[in-house]
Amino acid sequence: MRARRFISLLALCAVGICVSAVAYVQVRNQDIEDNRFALFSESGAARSTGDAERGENVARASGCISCHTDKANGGALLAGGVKLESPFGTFVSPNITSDKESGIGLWTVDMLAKALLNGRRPDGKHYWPAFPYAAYAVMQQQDIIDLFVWLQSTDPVQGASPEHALLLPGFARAGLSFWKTLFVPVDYQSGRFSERGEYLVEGPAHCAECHARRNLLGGIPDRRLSGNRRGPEGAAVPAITADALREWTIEDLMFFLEIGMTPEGDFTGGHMAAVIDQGTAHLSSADRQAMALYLKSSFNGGTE
Amino acid sequence: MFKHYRLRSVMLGLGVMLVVSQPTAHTGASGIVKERMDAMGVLGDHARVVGDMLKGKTAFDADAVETAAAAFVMHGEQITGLFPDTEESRSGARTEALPAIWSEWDDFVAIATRFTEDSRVFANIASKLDSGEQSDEENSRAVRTAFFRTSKGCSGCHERFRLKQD
Ligand code: HEC
Ligand code: HEC
Ligand code: HEC
Repeated sequence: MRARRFISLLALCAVGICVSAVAYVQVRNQDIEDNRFALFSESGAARSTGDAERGENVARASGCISCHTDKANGGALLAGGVKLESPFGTFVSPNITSDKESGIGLWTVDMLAKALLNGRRPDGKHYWPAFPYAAYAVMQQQDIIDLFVWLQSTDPVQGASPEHALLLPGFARAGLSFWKTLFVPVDYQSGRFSERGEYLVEGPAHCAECHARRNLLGGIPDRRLSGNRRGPEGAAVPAITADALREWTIEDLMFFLEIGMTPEGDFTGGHMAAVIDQGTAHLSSADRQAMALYLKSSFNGGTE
Repeated sequence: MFKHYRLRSVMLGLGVMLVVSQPTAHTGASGIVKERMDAMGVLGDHARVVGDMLKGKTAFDADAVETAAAAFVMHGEQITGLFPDTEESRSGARTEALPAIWSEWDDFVAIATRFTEDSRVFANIASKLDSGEQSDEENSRAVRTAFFRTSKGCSGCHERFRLKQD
């Protein structure tokens, strides 16, 4: 009898601890997100008007176009429908054209900023991290404003994407607070990314999303570009730390990011070809050089 | 003195053998898979030569560009023939060819055809480089444009139809 009471008491305590842990994580994550958004809103003197042309460049560098355009099936620009296979099921990228019903035509720049920096939907729910906001958390204010103006200037396309086909239960979305506190770096907006190349590679260009190791929770514990034996579609992705790239010159890397040719004359394929074709190939040569310089520097994975 | 000389050439020979027998991506491949890897390897060698010029690693060399462009045309015409729908071709050792080649054969052929056509344009431009009418800089710019266009065939085909191993 006494043992039964003792066990119930213990169970009650365990539930209590769980509930407060969940509450704590949620509050902590909310703090981080509020802080990040506040830094975003305050950075830069006044909110300048955006520049659509620059915004398109940001979209290229960030891979928005390759992930939200179903090129293989002739899909319209940004109309979504790209299937992203993962151990958690298949995600489908949504329509982000300026269409008012199917797309984001009714969004404000703050809504876009919250989506990119914090992975938050306008209704306050979390986005799945298949949308690589862990990398976009660093994005600079001007880039997001320009991006917004460009997105709103694209042709509206009607038609929503199919639903995700996930192996996870729907309520797992709510558990993403926990995931975010673990895997979305916190110290982003504080000027850690002062150099252009580092900002591009570690931030918007999200090279780590494919080139870094993921754990069982699908998180990227350290964002080192040391390769991933099981990348998208289960294929291996090579390491691109400074050490792994020691045979590559700056020119080799710039050329690679422009047309996809390796120093041996081979041409890269698969996802990397898409990253280049719809992304880095369209950047300025100065941006490609900045990325190459960062990749070759000792900040990229260390060379010791 | 003589002996010394012999030793040197033996060592040189050994060195060459070492270089030649260095394992490459296609160690272990045979038959049609080996054949097409070798053909692709030749394309890669020529692409590297042109690429090195455009990167400024090597001096501009009109003859080498012409040779490369001619090789692209010749191999371009042969590519589809190197991917027969046979067991060996589909799943021979070391192959990086994806099954989509045979399930989306028309697209594969279209990319190969386009590549060959672009290579012909490239070859045509390459054949005029020596005429002396243009400066090296102008030549280099023309080669760059034509080579970039042709190379879309290499990357476009690899993007959809090849999955690189190791
Ligand atoms: C790796 C693929 C990928 C990349 C790259 C990517 N997205 Fe997405 N995006 C997604 C997925 C998947 C979702 C859906 C997430 C969900 O449903 O929780 C999404 C959701 C969105 C949404 C929310 C749409 C809505 O209706 O709620 C917006 C806006 C968006 N992305 C914009 C962008 C922008 C801008 C970029 C570039 C800076 C970008 N995305 C890059 C995959 C991607
Ligand atoms: C969507 C996934 C993805 C993203 C994002 C991505 N890569 Fe890659 N990358 C790959 C894959 C897959 C390969 C191997 C492809 C092949 O060789 O066929 C690769 C290969 C490379 C290589 C060649 C390495 C070698 O040793 O051959 C370099 C360099 C590279 N990527 C740089 C980058 C940089 C820089 C970024 C960020 C701008 C980036 N990648 C973003 C998937 C990605
Ligand atoms: C129409 C499709 C197609 C085109 C065009 C094409 N390739 Fe390939 N390439 C392939 C396929 C498929 C493979 C994998 C073959 C295999 O492993 O069986 C390959 C493999 C390669 C390899 C690796 C060979 C090896 O030893 O494993 C190199 C190098 C290469 N290609 C270079 C090039 C270059 C350079 C060009 C353009 C000048 C080019 N390819 C154009 C389809 C193509």
